[in-house]
Parts: sequence; C-alpha cells; structure tokens
Amino acid sequence: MTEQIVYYAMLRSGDTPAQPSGLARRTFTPEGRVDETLRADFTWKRDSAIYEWERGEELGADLVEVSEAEAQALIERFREKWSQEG
Amino acid sequence: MGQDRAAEQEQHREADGPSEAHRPEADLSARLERLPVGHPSSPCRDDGSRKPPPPDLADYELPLPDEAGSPADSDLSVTDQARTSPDGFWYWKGDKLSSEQSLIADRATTRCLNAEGRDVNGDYGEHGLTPAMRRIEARLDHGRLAEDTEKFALKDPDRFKEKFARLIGRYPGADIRELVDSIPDGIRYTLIFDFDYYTAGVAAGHAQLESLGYERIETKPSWDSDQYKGVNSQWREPAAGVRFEVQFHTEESWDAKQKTHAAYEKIQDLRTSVDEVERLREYQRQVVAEVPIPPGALEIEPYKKEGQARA
Repeated sequence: MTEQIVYYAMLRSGDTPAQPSGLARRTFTPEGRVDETLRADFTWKRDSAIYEWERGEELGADLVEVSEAEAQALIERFREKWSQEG
Repeated sequence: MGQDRAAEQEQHREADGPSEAHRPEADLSARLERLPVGHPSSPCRDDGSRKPPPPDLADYELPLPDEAGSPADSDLSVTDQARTSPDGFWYWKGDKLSSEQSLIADRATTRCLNAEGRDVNGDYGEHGLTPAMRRIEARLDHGRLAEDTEKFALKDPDRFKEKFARLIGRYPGADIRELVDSIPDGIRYTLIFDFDYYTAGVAAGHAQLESLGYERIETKPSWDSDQYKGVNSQWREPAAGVRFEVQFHTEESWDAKQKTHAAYEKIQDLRTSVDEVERLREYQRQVVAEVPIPPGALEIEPYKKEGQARA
C-alpha cells in the first residue's frame, strides 16, 4: 500500500507560498505520522515543524500545503538558490 | 490461535487474587478479558496477541507551578545535558551549533537579558520588559501574570540554542542573524484571565502593550486546536528591537499547558519514536479536550504584521 505524503511550504517573514524559505512533508505510515523537513544536503530529516505549526503554540512560521509537483518545483528552486548561497 | 488466547486470558484471571476481585477496576478488567475477539474494547487483538497498555497519563504530567520545585518550563523530562566542546561547538539531543553559531546565540540571549530588565543582582528597577509587564498587570481588572513570572521570563540559554539549531536546519538559505532575531520567545510572559472576562482581557492586554509602545508582530489564537488552547502573541520592544512573547490563558488552559508540557517536549525530541509521538498526541488531545472555551474566544482574530509570513 502506497504511503500518503503531504507537503508544506514553510513561510518566514516576507515569504509567499510561491517563494518559501523551507519545505516540510508528512508521511502517513502504519506506525503514525512521520514529519520531516528538507535539509541543505537535500535529504529529509525528522523534524517537529509541522506538529508545532498545527498545535498553534509556536509563533513565527506559517505552513501552507502544496502539491507534490509544487514541492518538486520548490526543491529545484532551492537547489539553485542554496548552491549559490552555499 | 484462539486456544492460545483463551489460555492467556485464563492466566490473567488466575493472576487476579481474591482481594483484587472486589476492586471496581479489577471487575472491569475481568469483564474486558471476557470480551469476544474483535470487540473494540477487548485487551487482545484479532490475532489473539495482547494490545499494548494505554498510556499512563500520570507519566506525562508535570506538577503545577504552585507546587514546590516545579518549573513551568521544566527540564525534568530531559536526562541528558547540553555540552560545549573545547572548540566551542554546542551539542544537545542531536542538535548542534558551530562555535560561530553558538556565539551568535549567546549574544542574542544577552540582548534578551538586557531587555528583560533585571540587574546583575537579579533586582528590578523601572527599566525593562518585566517591570513593564508588572505595570500592565496592575492595570488589568480580571487578569494577572502567571506565578514565578520573573523566574521564567528568560528562556533557558540551551533551549534557545536548541530552537536556533532547528531553525538553521529548517531554513538552509536564511541569514543566521535574521534567524536568531526571529526567535520570539527568548523573553516570555503569561497573562491569565478570569474565564468570563478572558476575551475582553486579551483585547485589554493587547491595548496595554501597544500603549507602552510595543510593536505587535503576531497574534495567534489556538482555541480551535485539539493540542493546545490559548492565544500567543509576539511583540518587539523598540529600544533594542528584541522580540518577546505574551501568552493569554484562562486558569484551565494554563493548567492544561503545564500538564502537557513534558509531552510536548518529548514530541519535539527527535529521538522519540513515531508511535510514542502518536500516543503523546493522543494524551495531549485528552487533556486539552477538558479545557472549557471562554465566551468569544473562538472569534479572537489572528494578526500578522505586514511583511511577516502569511498564507
């Protein structure tokens, strides 16, 4: 059975959903929800960012759900941007 | 398979001594053991194996702040300590900062310390955020600052670094000085209002903060969340530009926050297994479901200053 994955653009100050600062994803597994964020080396690492945003206690970032295709486009954009900055 | 389960159930019945049989929970347990396979309340799965026991809610509770020795932002759930290597690298619970990043965090916490208002002896005068919050408290008819406000106004430096390290990981392209300045709760306060006056109290608290010249960055109501109830707000003091956080609670939502705090920290700890996170979320949901919603609280408007992130 295919695991469902939901992607979120992570928005900081001044960001828009089309130009976020980060990307998160939630994978629904038999054990539970696995939340991860995209890292500088383009691997996914476990992270509580989605949960913190859902819970509502943490201030600052906003998360906006995006499609898988939009997530892939963001990854390509990050690949260009982060390699220039890195 | 069914015979194994019957034998297992029999063993459990035998394990219950005579004195147990007269206790209501023992009666309930025995009745649950007799439920047929597949019944939703049966302690066994369909294949006859035993389900894991439900979480003991007491394991996740912290003492309330009015109990002796119980910090509101507790380190009690953390057994290991943060450490700094000889070359200045900082490590804690799988997070790390380079020596430069650690130094940037140290400078930020120093700015928080200066803005908060205490002197080198820990005393307060007129200057700073905490005396200002005490002045605001004095003007509120149905609200008060949480107990031990001065003790918990400043975020623990290692918790500050932990948050900074996570932001760096989440936002690889961001300027790290901007990231450290964006941490909203290096200084934090909690105002608690009487239930019937809560919604008016949130408005009064905001008005008082603005009247003292603090710039509102964000207001985030969470009364519709199943994991946390309250209103959190983020402000900037004009002198040094330091951000601080003010939470607005009722007695009940504040108590729920205290009770679930250790669970919340464990959920954020990346070493916690996925299924344990699910159990902790369920525990938080149960605690938060008991919090009554004050009149008008669901209509409190969120706010984000122009130029801040928005959906």
